[in-house]
Amino acid sequence: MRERLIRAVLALYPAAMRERYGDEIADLLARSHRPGHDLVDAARAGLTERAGALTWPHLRKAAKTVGMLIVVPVALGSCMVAAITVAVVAVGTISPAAPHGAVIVCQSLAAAPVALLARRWALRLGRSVLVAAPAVVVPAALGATILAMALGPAVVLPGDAVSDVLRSYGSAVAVWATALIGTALTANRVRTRFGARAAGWVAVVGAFVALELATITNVLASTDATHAPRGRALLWFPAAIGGLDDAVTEAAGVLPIMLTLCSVFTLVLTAALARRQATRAAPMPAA
Amino acid sequence: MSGLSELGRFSEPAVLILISLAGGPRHGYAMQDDIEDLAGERPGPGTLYGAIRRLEERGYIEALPETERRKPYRLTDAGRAALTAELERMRAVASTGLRRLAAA
Repeated sequence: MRERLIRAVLALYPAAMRERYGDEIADLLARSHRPGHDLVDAARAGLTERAGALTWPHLRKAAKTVGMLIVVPVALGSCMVAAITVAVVAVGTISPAAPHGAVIVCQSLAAAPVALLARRWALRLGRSVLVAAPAVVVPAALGATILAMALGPAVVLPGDAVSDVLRSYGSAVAVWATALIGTALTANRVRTRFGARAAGWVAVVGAFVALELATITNVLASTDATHAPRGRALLWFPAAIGGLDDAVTEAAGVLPIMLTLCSVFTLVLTAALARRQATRAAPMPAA
Repeated sequence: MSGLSELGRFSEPAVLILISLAGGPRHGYAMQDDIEDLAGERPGPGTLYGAIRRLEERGYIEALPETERRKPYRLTDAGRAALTAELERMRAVASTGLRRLAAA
């Protein structure tokens, strides 16, 4: 336990300082008679060193990365709206009398090309940016942006729109972000021990669980049991995505699709960054 | 500001480290023990190595080869001069303060 805490505290230091004094600081922390006090002291000093090492290019790079993480949900949401519009117009043109369910299915299918786009952006970003603790930072940043996007229109609406959005979307996004952080961390660990294929399966299963939990949280907070029978809660995510249940689809809104796209983006990006980090950390082959 | 006072919050630990090393080379743990005896308070590892880094960067101390997996540090000539100047400044401040207290 103490070893893990020491590693976490040392991670706060800039790399150069960690390489130069890390072993010595770790030795003192391991032998400390007042570990709590000394861990806090080392963490505080690490943050001071980190702040002192920040330069203008570092700050600009960090701002660019944060900016991109904020832009991604907005861009994915815009692409999704465009794809849904195209799907609805196409269905209306081909078959004006198409049933409502068919329209909803076409809307959901429209998410597929956007998901491919999300994957492509994530792979591209994974080659160019560096994110500290990406398994935590990426889902948290995307979740915060999605919530801000949902709160934006609610602010100007009368009544309790803001508290309604916070109760339903806020809790759902928090559940999604927490579950996805767990998934990304577990996938990273599995990748190290069992390889990329096993990590991929962990990511897919974890993302599905995160989406199920988020949709259940959202629907529980926004619809009563008459419209959304609680016994079918595990079916709410597929029902919302596939338009199979009008009450659930209406209650969940666009959140399941947005979170699905952001899950694809997050897990592909964190995997790409973990691969890059592993490549950088690998020892150079002997000449 | 000049000398050790430019080290900000690390200036006091830096003086104590220099005083500790004035008695001979020491590694981090021995410095902590010595400073605790000297000042009555044990510096934490972060504070200690924050000050060590700054002193090493200014050439006031230098690392010696590792012994028993620990790296000792020693005072350089520049460090000795900086410590002498700082202690003389502190002595002048202290004697002025004491003289004023006695006169009051």
